[in-house]
This record gives sequence, C-alpha cells and structure tokens, in this order.
Amino acid sequence: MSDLAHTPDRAEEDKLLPIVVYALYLLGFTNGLTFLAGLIVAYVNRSEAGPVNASHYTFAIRTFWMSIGWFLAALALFLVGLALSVVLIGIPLIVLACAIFGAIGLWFAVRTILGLVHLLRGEPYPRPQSWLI
Amino acid sequence: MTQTDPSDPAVPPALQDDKTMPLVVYALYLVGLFNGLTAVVGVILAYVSKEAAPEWMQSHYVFQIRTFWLSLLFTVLGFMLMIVGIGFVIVAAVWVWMAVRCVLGLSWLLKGQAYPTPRNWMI
Repeated sequence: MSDLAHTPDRAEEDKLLPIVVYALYLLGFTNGLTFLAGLIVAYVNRSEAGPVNASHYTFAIRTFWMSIGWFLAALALFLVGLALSVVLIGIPLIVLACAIFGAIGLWFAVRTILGLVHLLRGEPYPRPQSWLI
Repeated sequence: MTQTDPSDPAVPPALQDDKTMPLVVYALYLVGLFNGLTAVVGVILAYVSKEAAPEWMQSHYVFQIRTFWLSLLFTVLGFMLMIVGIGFVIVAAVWVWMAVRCVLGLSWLLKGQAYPTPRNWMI
C-alpha cells in the first residue's frame, strides 16, 4: 500500500498473482484439477490488472481454452477410433489420438514455462494471442 | 527491465544477461532424470530460446540440446542391449553422464561463462 506514491511503472506491477496462475497450471499436471483454479484466478484478476499482468492472464486463459479445444478434438478422434476398431481400421486413429494427447501436454507445459520466464523478467508476454507459443 | 544496471562497467556483460531460461532447462533436465518427461519440455524450451540468445548462452542451449538427443540415443541403445545384459550398465552410465553434464553446465552458466565444449560427445 505504501507503494501508491510511486509512479505505476510496468516493473512495479505485483507479479504474485500471475505467478500463482502459472504455478497452479504446472501443479495441474500432478492432480488434473488446479488448472481450473488457475483459470479462475486469471479471469478474476484480468480486468483490473496492469498491461504486463493482463498480457499474462490473457495468455494463460487462452492456453487453457485452446488445450481444452484440442483435448476434445483428440477425444472425439479417440472415440471414433474406438468405434471403428471393431473393423480394425480404428487402431491407427487411437494411436494418433494418444499422440495428440501427449503433444497437448507438452505444449501446455512449454507455454506455461515460457510465460513464467517472461513474467519473472518483468516483461509482458510478447504474443498473448498466438496460437502456438 | 533487469535487476542489474546495463551500463555498470564493473559488471562483465555476460553477467548482465538474463540466465533464467537456460537455468530452467538444466533444472528440468535434472528433474527429468527422475521422471523421464520434463527433459522433453526442457529440450523444447532450449530450441525455442536458442536463436534469440546472446552467443555465450547459445553454447549452453547447443550443449543442452545435444545432451538430450545423445542421452535419448544411448538410452534406447541400452534398452535394446538389455537382452544381452550389457544394456543395464549402459542405461545406468547414461543416467550418470546426463547428471554430470547438467551439473557442469550449470556451474559454467552460473559463472556467466559459455560452455567451453558444447559439441563434445563426452562432457
């Protein structure tokens, strides 16, 4: 609170909450649930955040929803593969779906760590709207 | 932007570069020795960060990328040779080798120096 006298330079934004978001995302790999907590923290704080933190919240929120989108697509592929494996042609589809599941996990982890590294340097995420990284 | 003042002549330039990312990669590798998976995340981060990095740090990324692929190659070889027994020794040796490379790389990184022999096959 005593910092209110300072000019709100971008380096002075409190980084704690975005760190919490990324930490919850990484923890989610061990329990599968804290992703959601991280998403909620990001949504709740985005509107009042400064430009640096806002870019990280946007990036984190997009990371979550894009992963969900890819996950559902891969799940659909998996189920189709499961149904078609009665006639044997489904097995490659199941293998492909499993590869996509793995790739989503990797991609999610890489995005989270890249975001965290930018955040700890006090920088906004350079491409919060990007579809890859 | 960074903690240190870039114009401070007392600090050598390499120490002013942000070492977070190569540090993260080494940490992921060391954790990966115990779970096998975070090393994959580490190598992707190394590839992503390599081209924008200052030259001395690129040597660390090259070293890390080579550490990943070489350890993968020799671990696979080791697993195949497990049917004749020698594979168990190879896999254990690769594990120790990766740990040593990470610790050596970390110590050079924290000194703010390039890895002297990033393309060496041993260390």
